[in-house]
Amino acid sequence: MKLAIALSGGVDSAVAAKILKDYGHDLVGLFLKLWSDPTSSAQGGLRGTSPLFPDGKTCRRDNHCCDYQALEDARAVAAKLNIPFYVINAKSEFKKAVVDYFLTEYQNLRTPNPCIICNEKIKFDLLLKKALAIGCEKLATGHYARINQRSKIKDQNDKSKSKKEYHLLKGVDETKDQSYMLYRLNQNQLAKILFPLGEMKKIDVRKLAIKYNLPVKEKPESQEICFFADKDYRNFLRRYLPEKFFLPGEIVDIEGNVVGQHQGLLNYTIGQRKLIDQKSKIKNQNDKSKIKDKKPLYVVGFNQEKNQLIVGGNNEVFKKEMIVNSLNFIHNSEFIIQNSNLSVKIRYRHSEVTCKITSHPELVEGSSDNIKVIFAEPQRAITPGQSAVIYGRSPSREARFGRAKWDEVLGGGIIES
Amino acid sequence: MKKIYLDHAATTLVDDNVLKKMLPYFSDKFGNPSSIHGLGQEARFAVDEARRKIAEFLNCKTEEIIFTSGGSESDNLAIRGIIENQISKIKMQNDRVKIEKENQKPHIITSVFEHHAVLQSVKELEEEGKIEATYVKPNRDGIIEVADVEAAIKKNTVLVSIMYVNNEIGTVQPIREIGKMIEKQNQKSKIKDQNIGRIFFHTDAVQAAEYFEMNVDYLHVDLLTLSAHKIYGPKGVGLLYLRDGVEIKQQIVGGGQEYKKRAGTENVAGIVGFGKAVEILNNKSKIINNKNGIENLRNGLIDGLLKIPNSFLNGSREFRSPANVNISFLNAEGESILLNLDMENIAASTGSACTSGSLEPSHVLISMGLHPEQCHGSIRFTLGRSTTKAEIGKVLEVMPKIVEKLRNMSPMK
Repeated sequence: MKLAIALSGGVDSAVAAKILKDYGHDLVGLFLKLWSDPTSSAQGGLRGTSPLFPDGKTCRRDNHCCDYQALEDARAVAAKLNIPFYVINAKSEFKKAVVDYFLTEYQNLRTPNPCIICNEKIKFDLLLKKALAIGCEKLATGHYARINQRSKIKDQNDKSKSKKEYHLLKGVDETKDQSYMLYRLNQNQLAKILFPLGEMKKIDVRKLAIKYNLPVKEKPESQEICFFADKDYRNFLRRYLPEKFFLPGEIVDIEGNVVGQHQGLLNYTIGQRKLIDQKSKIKNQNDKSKIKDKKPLYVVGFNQEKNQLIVGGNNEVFKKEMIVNSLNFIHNSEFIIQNSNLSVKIRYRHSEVTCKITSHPELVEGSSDNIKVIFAEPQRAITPGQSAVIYGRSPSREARFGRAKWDEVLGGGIIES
Repeated sequence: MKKIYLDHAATTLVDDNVLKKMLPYFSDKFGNPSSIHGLGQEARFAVDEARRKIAEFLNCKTEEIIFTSGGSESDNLAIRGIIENQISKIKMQNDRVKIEKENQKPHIITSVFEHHAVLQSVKELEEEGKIEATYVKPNRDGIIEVADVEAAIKKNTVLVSIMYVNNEIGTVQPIREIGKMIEKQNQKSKIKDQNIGRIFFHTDAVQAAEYFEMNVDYLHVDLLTLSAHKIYGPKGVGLLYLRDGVEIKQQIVGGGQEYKKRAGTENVAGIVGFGKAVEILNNKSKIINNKNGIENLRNGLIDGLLKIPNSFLNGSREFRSPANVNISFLNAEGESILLNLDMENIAASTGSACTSGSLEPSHVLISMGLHPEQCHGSIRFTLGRSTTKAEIGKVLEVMPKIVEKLRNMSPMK
């Protein structure tokens, strides 16, 4: 089969490529060139001193996925495997679909997950289309996730009318599972994607890389956001968003009482404890009793109009339900909403929790793009902008291992509140 | 499957006779031309011989030829060299008459669709605050009009740099006419020191050497860039023709080579190869035959490709390199066409090799007034000495299928 492999310059995609090549596929390597912050020095974008770094210091990029090192590593893999290699420039599309989205979400004081949007709109749309356009049947990547193909019989009397249905499952290596990042894919996309590492453990992937002596075998993992080099994303935001988001303001409790000063709303996310300074206020009031029973406070919300940070005690960070919109379901959504055997992940590194889904009751009509998720037990820090991914129990796995796991992605959406 | 190479504007293979001539200079005759001993002399003779052949080709003196590492370096040297020399001249003059004259920044005229080696050099000098620049636009046919260049001339204009043949669309610029016009302008102004108050004319002739007149006097140019690897010579060697008496500021320093205008031990084998490539090219009768043959093949390719619906030729057909085809296909991305052709073992390009791999629409096509979506579907074929009718036939066989397939692709989302 003629296949495209997305080579990132990392170990995973290199091993995936090697596996497919050994299987006898006619392989084409594709490398995505994405937008990255031009103020990063390694991109060659900085001449002399920049107004942003008046002291002449520049930020350094290491292990980021679209710098020259990554490109050279990806090319070295293609050369080693003796496959054609093309660089696909998606800079402007990536900037628009992912970076601008990232900035807009932060401007609305939400916490986006850009990788999910990149998978939806860049890797498995633009790049996939490119792969198909050059005559490849499918696009393979080094993601840790699985796609199962089952036949869905449409007409019981006529089995020839069965339709293929694609199921997205967690990778076998649960510590590396990336299915959460892929929930926005649809049947058209899943039909054209291969994840050769889905059944593998990362440790074995590394071993294979060494065994095959792949050029990137010793490359460390990179998991940070790829389009800026700053260790702290707030430095990136500071360069691209208006100053008003970084102006100090009041910290208020749920009742609206002022309890301190914040250092600019964009320095905070839901559930955060750091940088909440209430000492000064308490000193002013000379109220020593408050210091005594001072409990830790956490961010529970924002009032953007008043530039206020809303904080609460531990209990107030927990919620028993949430509203999710911008939905994507891999299968029929009615089936999922009615299914009582569901769980949800509210962020990438979150162990899923049993849940129930109802259409959002406040919506009179058109509930299709808006659901309410009720947790079996209250969850900490429901963060608008993050994705809620709904998992079901995959029947095949249940049968094989005799135990039920939440390992099939049914769909999900973006947390509204 | 045999590869079909239709990207001769990117580079050409090294001619067998060129390679043969070069080989001894890597091994037996490895001397440094600056050495006094026999080995050095042997290398010096070889460099001299190459320079003589090229001087004959350009109809110039040997000492008007500065060998460089290639076209880009020559362009950089021409532009930066002229400007930096002008700046120091102006400073000396001001010091002499002891008056601070303001607004004496030298002015450059170039075109918006130059090769980036010229464009970036000019832009960089502009950013450094050293010059003013005017970027002349081509007409819709991809031709720079003499009148537009003339209209851009100012009192402080010191350099005009217009390419001979555009690398992407192959259009031929009226270099001789621009050269004559500048000469007239220079005659009008009373010039005491030939390096002050005068307009110099540079042309990047890299894409023109294979097919067009290279007599520098006929062209009325003061500086001219050539590169060996576009004319079946090796990569890594080029030259700047610099008219006798025209001063430039040396850019690479640290040795007296190339008449003290470009330091560094000569790339002897490269220069020998360059000389041989030019010698082959200078065999006029052979070239004219070759030119006509290629032009016929090219016309067949253009006519065949234009049969594909919603396609159009970019740039004038009349004033065009006989080797260049640049066609846009609406609703089919050039990059995808290119990769599909590569899968069929056909090498083409979406633009210049220096910018491909980027989806940013070509600055050349944009400058001619095309919309970005019209540029996205453009593809360039450049024919060469080895191109055959069968190869063109093969391209015409696969292209309609590729374009149709791409146009019919359904969206994923």
